[in-house]
Amino acid sequence: MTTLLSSWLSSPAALGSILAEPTETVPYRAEVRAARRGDQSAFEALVRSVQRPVYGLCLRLLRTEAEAAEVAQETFLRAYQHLGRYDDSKPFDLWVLAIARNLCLDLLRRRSRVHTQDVDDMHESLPSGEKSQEEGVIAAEEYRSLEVALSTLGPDDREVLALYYVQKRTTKEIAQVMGVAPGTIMARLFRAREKLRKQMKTEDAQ
Amino acid sequence: MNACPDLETLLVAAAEHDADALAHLRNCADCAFLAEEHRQLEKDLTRLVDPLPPPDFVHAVMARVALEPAPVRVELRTAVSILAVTLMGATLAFVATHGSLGLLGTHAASAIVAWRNLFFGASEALAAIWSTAALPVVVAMVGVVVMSTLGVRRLGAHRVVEAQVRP
Repeated sequence: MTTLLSSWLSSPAALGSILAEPTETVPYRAEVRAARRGDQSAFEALVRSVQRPVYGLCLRLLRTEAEAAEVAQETFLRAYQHLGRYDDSKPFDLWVLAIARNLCLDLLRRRSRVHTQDVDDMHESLPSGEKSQEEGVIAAEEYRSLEVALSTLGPDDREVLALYYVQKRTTKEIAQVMGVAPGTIMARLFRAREKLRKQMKTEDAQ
Repeated sequence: MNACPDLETLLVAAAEHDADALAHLRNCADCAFLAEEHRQLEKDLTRLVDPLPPPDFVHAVMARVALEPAPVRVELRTAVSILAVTLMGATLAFVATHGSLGLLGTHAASAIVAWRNLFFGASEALAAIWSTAALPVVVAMVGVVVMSTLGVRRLGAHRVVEAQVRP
């Protein structure tokens, strides 16, 4: 038991490590300024830099590739249209993620029901190269069951887990994206993780 | 052994190296097991990765962006509108004073005198209402103040949320 406890405390993902926030920097400032002046290649560079987390968040929230791609495109279009309102003292990627989140939640609210094939759609969209990398560490079946369990959670839980564990965002950054107090993120993370743990237990039992 | 604390509280306290929480985890097999499951889950979650967007994603975005005016032009349009309204106001002031802007001060003083008379008239009217129906007036005024405050607070909260999540 002592070994388990010490390994938990020394784990890089342990709760203690998330209390330490890294130093804030504001990347992409030059590109944003150039894009504001109408330099589309600068905006293209911005899109290339943040497309993956934006699309990733959209896919985790919406669970269908087509919708995720459409909403992610719309996100960047809105970002371009409203670059004048962006406060460049804050990270650009967080601003764009907040737009993406807002658009996804709008779409989720409009949805009347959840399609059952969505979970499979999302699994197929996982990058195969990285999937094989993962296979060296986690067994493919475990990886799949984690994705399945994750996809059964509500959007709020999926969002906070994806931002924290998949995108490695700090609690402060997540709070900025979600528009909530930073102090609430730890509790949200715990609750989402606890739901996921219970869900995985249920799946294991079946 | 003490009764098990709430798991969330226990794990957060243990992560902060709280002595009681750590002692509890050392002595309670059930809580230690749950803590280990959370640790393992965190480990697995950190190995997940964001999927790649479709290969033509950037091209699709840029094709839509190409149809939009440059952001700086939108800002310029707003600035020109503000400038135009300001100039129009100045021109009207110039015409109203028959080309002599120095008369603006005289006009302003006349307006203040007129407003003063209006103010005294309104005060007398209010005094008359107060002397005849003080209670309904107080109730109505309190109602107006409360409703306005609630409205402003709601508007303020809405704007904060908008600023955080909307471009």
